[in-house]
Amino acid sequence: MKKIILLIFLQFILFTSTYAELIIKIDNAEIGALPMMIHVEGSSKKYSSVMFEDIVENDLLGSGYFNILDSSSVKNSLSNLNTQYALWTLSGANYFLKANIFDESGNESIKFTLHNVIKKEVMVSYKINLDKNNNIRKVSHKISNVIFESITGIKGIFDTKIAYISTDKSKERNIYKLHVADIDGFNSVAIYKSSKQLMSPTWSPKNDKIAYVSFENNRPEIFIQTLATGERVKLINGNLSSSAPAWAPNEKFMAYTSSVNGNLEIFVHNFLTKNNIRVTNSLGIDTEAEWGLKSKKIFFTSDRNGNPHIYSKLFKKGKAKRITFDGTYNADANLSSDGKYLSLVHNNGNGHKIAIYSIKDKFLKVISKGRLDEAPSFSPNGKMVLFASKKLHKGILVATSNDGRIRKEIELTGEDVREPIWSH
Amino acid sequence: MNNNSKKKFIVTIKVIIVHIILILILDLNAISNLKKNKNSFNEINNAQFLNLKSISQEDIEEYRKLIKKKKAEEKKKRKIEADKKKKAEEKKKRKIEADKKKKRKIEADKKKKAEEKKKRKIEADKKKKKILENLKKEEEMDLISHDLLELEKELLEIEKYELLVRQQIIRNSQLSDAEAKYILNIKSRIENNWLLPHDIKHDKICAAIVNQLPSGKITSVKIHGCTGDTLYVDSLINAVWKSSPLPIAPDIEVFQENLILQFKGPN
Amino acid sequence: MVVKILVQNIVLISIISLITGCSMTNKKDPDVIVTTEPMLTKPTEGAVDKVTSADSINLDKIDEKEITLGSNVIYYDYNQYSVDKPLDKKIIKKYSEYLNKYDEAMVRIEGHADERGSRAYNLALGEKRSETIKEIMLINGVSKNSIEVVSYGEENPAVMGTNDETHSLNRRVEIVFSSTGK
Repeated sequence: MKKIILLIFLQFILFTSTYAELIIKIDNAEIGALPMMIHVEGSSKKYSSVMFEDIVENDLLGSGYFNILDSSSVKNSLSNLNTQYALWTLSGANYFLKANIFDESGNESIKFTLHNVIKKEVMVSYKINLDKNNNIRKVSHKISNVIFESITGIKGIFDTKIAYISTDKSKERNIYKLHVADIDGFNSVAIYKSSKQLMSPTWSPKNDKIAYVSFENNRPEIFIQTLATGERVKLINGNLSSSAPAWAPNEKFMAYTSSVNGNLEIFVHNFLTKNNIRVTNSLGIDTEAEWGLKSKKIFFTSDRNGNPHIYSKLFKKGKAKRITFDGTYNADANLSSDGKYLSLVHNNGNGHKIAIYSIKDKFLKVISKGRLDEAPSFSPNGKMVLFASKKLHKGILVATSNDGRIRKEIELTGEDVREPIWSH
Repeated sequence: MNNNSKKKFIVTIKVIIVHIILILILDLNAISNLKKNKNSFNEINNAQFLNLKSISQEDIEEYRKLIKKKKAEEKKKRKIEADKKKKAEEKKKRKIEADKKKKRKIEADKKKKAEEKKKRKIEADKKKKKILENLKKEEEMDLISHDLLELEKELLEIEKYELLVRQQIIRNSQLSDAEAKYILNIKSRIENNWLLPHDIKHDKICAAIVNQLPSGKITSVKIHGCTGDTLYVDSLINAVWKSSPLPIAPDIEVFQENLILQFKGPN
Repeated sequence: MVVKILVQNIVLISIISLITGCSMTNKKDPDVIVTTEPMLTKPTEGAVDKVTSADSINLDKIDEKEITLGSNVIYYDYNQYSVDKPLDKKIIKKYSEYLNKYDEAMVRIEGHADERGSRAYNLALGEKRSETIKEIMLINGVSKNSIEVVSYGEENPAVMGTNDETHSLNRRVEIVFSSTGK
């Protein structure tokens, strides 16, 4: 009897050993940047192809997502696309950006095509006119945006702006300037100049105005300047000084810091009613307001528990809730555009560094290496962070991928710069 | 101390009493013995008194000689009797002993015999039993020999199957080795080509259904169960296409046209 | 080391005020500090004693109209704004007494912080330092109108540098006489 059962069992094994399909578990990914090659041909009257290549390469490389391979081995343009794909595959690139600058009956244009080398297909292809309005930098950044978005599905930020403050110490008296520039530091324009200190620049939600602190009246006061006209308006706060302006995303409010009864507290100014509401009420310092996405919640720095840490509070009511607990110093919080992360200045005994705090996971990760890093500002897509650091006693601006892996100093020749703020 | 002295006192009294009793007993015995001897002695003396008047000196001497003779005879007699008695006793003893011996022997013999009988009986019983069992067995064997034949037939068949199965097991293990190797080759090839950007977290399992030709060339890739996240899905697709052609199967039987790749990203 | 600066400061200021007879302004020549004392150290306990004695000597001797109240700088630990040291309390007391005595005198309490960390927070820190001293003066009976509070955060360091010593010299409050009537 037993033997019969065994028989049946064995036969069963026999028959089930042939599967209908094979299941394979793949779980060991390599984390790294996607390899890409860029090749721009031709030239315009003003610009060489190298300039386009360089700008796009810097943009994509600085984002942290791409590794730009040297394309000199495939510089010879071959007509047969299959052969080209084969060549690109051999080179190890996943993507190939091919661009051509040409003259079409007096109109100069640049045509670019993004190839997916693995699938052997074209992803996107566009033509952009090069005219007065579309200078080389603008066009190149635009191309970077398109490439970035097609591959990652994430919004490109290469055509956005940054604002920052510079100190010119070359003259007898220091000159302080507020600048607006491209993300790579080029096309920098000083929109305000003063012999007195300037601080804490912040963009309006539509990027049409910048609010900042000026000491022109020998004390900190908030001014709002319209970029297009240069018009300046002071934020009235009774006769008190005010600092740390923060624009609500719905454009209706501005949060700021003022001193009341010897304590630094946060207020919210209503642009419509011109009223000021007091938000915090604690002994000590409450400052550096940063709005939540819905213009209801405010993150801020407070030392109510001894050391400066980040707290949050609904600005109209409710109690303050402590956000950060790690380290002895957490300040200057900046919220990412998806509302999930705060970039901040963090010190855990090892100098002041930039850290990213995940609000949901309650996890803090240090992403910079200096000891005097400050003023972190997320890119509009949350994938990069701009901050101020020191190099040889001079202030510099650094852009880094949000995991700290790729770090690039922004070229702003010679100036002592600080307090960068990325536009929206 | 009081108790002890009391006890000693009691003991000494007891001892004294016992001694007194013993002495009394012994005395009584002695007295009774003395009494007995006295009586026998009195009887003899009385017998002599009757014949004293008519006896001359010669008579007396004869009589004395006679007495002496008699005494001697008596002595002899007594001796003979004693001897006789002794002999008789001895004889008796010997007889008793002999009887005893005999008895014992008889009993021993009896016992022996009984035991032997018992033994023989047991052996006989055993033999009987054995025989009975053997008989039984034989009967049984007779009964099942028929089944045995059938079983033998089945056994033969099973052996045949077992042979087949053994061959198949060997083949299976070859195949499973080959299959394991094949899976490993494909897995390494694809993992080597799987590149993920830095801030992608995706620990759910996404399946890619891959169709291939026997040459390893991939003909189609379909992703299942991975929604959203362009970069992640693209990374899977890229990893698969970049791995074409897939490694050739080490054994033709192991080749599968359809592969299900279960991708699991980092946490 | 700081003793030297302060003493030299006092001497220079006395000379200037004697010559001009004007009230002291905020315009301190930074070069004075930098060139005369290249090696700067944090005030030590020993130095404190010496300053105190110099302090009291000056106060007693000088004419009321002349403004030389000795040390006008109070230093702080990192992230701190409370006034704990007896010397510092004494300084504030002296100023309070002076202000109470002369109605028309006015001070500007200028708060500073070292360069580390967030700028806006450092501005608040400087302000908190000034405000705390103002509170003490108010408690000492000084009129609100005699006190002006301002913070420069990390924007006006006393000493340039990025080590602990220079940082400690920048974490300070300076009590400055603002011109009467202005």
